[in-house]
Amino acid sequence: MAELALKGIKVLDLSEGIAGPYCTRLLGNFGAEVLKVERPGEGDKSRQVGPFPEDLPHLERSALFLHLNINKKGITLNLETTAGRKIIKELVKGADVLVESFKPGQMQEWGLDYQSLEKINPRLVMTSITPFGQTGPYRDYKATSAVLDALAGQTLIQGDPRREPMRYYDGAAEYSAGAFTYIAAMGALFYSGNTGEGQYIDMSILQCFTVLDSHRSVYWTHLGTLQERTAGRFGVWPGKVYPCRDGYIGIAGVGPAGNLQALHSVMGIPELLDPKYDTATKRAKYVTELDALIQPWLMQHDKVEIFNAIQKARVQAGVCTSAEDLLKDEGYAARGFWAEVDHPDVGKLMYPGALALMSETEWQTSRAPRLGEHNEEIYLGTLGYSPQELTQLKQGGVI
Amino acid sequence: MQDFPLTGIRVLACDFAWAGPFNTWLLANLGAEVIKVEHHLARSAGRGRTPRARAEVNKAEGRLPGSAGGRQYRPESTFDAVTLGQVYLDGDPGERPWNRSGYINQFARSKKSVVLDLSKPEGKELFLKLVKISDVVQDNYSTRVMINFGLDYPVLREVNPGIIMIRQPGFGVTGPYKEYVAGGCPTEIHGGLSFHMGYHDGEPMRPGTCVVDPWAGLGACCVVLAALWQRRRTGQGQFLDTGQCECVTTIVGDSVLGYQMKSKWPDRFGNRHSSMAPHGCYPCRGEDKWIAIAVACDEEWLALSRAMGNPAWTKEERFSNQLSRSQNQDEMDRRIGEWTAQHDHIALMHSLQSQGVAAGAALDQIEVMADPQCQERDYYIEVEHTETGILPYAAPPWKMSKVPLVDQRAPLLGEDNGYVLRELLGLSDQEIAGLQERRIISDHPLE
Repeated sequence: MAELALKGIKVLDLSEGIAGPYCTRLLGNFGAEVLKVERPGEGDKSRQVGPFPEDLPHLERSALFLHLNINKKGITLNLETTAGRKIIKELVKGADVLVESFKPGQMQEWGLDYQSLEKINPRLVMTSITPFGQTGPYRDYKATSAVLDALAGQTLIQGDPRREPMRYYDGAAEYSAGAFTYIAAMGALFYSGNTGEGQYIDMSILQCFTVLDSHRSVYWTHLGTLQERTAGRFGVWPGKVYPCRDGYIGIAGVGPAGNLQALHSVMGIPELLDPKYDTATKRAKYVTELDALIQPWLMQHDKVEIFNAIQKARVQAGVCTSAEDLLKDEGYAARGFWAEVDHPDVGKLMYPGALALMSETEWQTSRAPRLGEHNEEIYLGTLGYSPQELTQLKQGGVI
Repeated sequence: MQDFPLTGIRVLACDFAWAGPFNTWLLANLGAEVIKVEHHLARSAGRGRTPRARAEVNKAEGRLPGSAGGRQYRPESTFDAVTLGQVYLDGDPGERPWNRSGYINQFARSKKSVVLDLSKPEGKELFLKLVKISDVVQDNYSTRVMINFGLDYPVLREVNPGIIMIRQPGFGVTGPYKEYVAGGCPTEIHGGLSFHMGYHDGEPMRPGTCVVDPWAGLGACCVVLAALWQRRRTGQGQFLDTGQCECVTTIVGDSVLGYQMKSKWPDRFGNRHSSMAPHGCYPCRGEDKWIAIAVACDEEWLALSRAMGNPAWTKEERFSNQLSRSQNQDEMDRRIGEWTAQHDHIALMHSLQSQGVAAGAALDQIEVMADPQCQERDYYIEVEHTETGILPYAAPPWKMSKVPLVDQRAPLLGEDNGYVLRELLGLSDQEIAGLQERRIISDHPLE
């Protein structure tokens, strides 16, 4: 019987944007109860980031927000107020994990730093996640995803060597940090499960994204070489994305000469078997020529057809999938990858699903909360305030 | 003594290349005892296999492509087709290349190594004895490899119902593509990342490296930790089937939802942004030096204009707000680029940051490792290895107040055969010598 892996774990999520919310989304997917605390009025800044239905901005309809905040309950709370901070301390009592992403020093200013919260709940795992971390000379620098890509050394190695380098997918650095933070927080949960002691975790998005690609450091420390921009070609020919009749197809580099035979068996291009191409070193010299040999055939065939034919000949390939392709993909469908989630403001949509098919674990997917949707449930129910007190808090701008 | 979160957890790592080893590297850094069960031919990629003399012959015959990875391809099997190359210190395989590869010395750090010939009944039997006393088995070979060895999940479960087995072929263990072979390149393309990467005015362009591997390793670690937590409560092991391509699809989740919402967002923003303008990668002084600048609001635009010395063009109506700036980006980028090109990329970053503008120099790896932020936070730590000396290696990127960083070097091939067989499985010296004689175990690749 599949069940929720993190059943009973309570997460207090004060974070916004991508990194913190992705961490808590994962905890929620595995069954933790996540309570998301947002600023009254505007809420999480990602609510203002598109895409939106018909491209019309709306706080309840951001694709990014909805994607990252499934499985959470949401309340509003103004941490600028004394009453708001008192409520956080009440919530900390029952929390196993707290995740926050305020600028470094902010929690301390509010009296909500780890030293203070630890006194309230010694088992608390508190996680701060900011662009540069809580220490170091860049601590207070401004960052966006593109700035982090550049500093992580990712930008300089992407794109065409003849023009400006190209950044990574917007937000990817933050996603990597979200996953690393989940891993560290889980580690701390094991630790507190064994010892009864909580701890503080300081995460830097830049550090996470730099370390994610540790091959580059190995090239430098071992070979003294730097990675160059290769216009999207990786390793030996073909190793890149090509246009085809109905879109794009990726074909991995082929190593041994036998794989050229395999490509020929699919494409029927005898020139591929010319001895001048029979080693990877030789092929590297004829990249443009080889591209020109296969491109006409690719333009006469469709991506899925090419993908299946090439793979069946035991050469690695992948459809260069757009969102539409992903949703139509037979592999994703057969593996039950998509989770259909209904939301009152955007309707039923297919959300990217589980990181794995798990024989004993249920992957939870319930919709993201509207701003302040669970205020009554939490304030009246969990915290036991009276309706009058709730009204006072609302009038005082606390919630 | 409870020093680490996963103290007492034992992981058998039947992994190679990057994705699987990245997961088990993370688990090792959280304190699990990770035993790398290495292929008897030392093909568990990342380990080098061809000693110096033979490598020179290969090179003379044009068999080494000579790329940064020093890739070697062998046609015989699945292992070979997806084998990553080796990166030796100073490019020299030495006499024992299997102990000199940078890949293995990075990702096997804090792990133990045992060499077992799983294709022989005795090797398989020893493996199952290890399964009995282990908690996790990580396998990222292609789908049929462990099955061919007769070591599929049902076999493992019979020996140890608490075992958690994670398998990670490119497209997953089930589904129509389960037999398809795929390393990092095709899976990140199939996972949806490449389509959305590329210049705003160009076609899809793959990332600069094999990015799916670390994403898949991260995803695997997330799943394994949840399964281990569940097992604390239930005692129940399980089977985890991960498709590497699926691990990157979540990253483009906003685009997938946006498509269903009928958003008209472009397929690729490249260096541009959905709401910020200016937002780009601008040339700096020197060869191939660049800086990323991102302006999120009018206030930051005024700050950038001030930094540029308030040239007249910045006051033009067409650059007055985010929308008009994004509509006139070509012209704006050209003018900003003329200014940035006069400056050093790193000095300009500090200067802009001090004036309230988000900017980041596009660093190369030398600059990354010399960067004060990197040094302050120990992105890399120095570790001494018997065969390659002291070198910096990437450290896990967390700062946990009660969990120290592990600074143990990577094991030599088969270095822990004795520990595993004698101490864990209780074999006698004589039995171990017999295994060595029958070529079940080894401390060098067996041909």
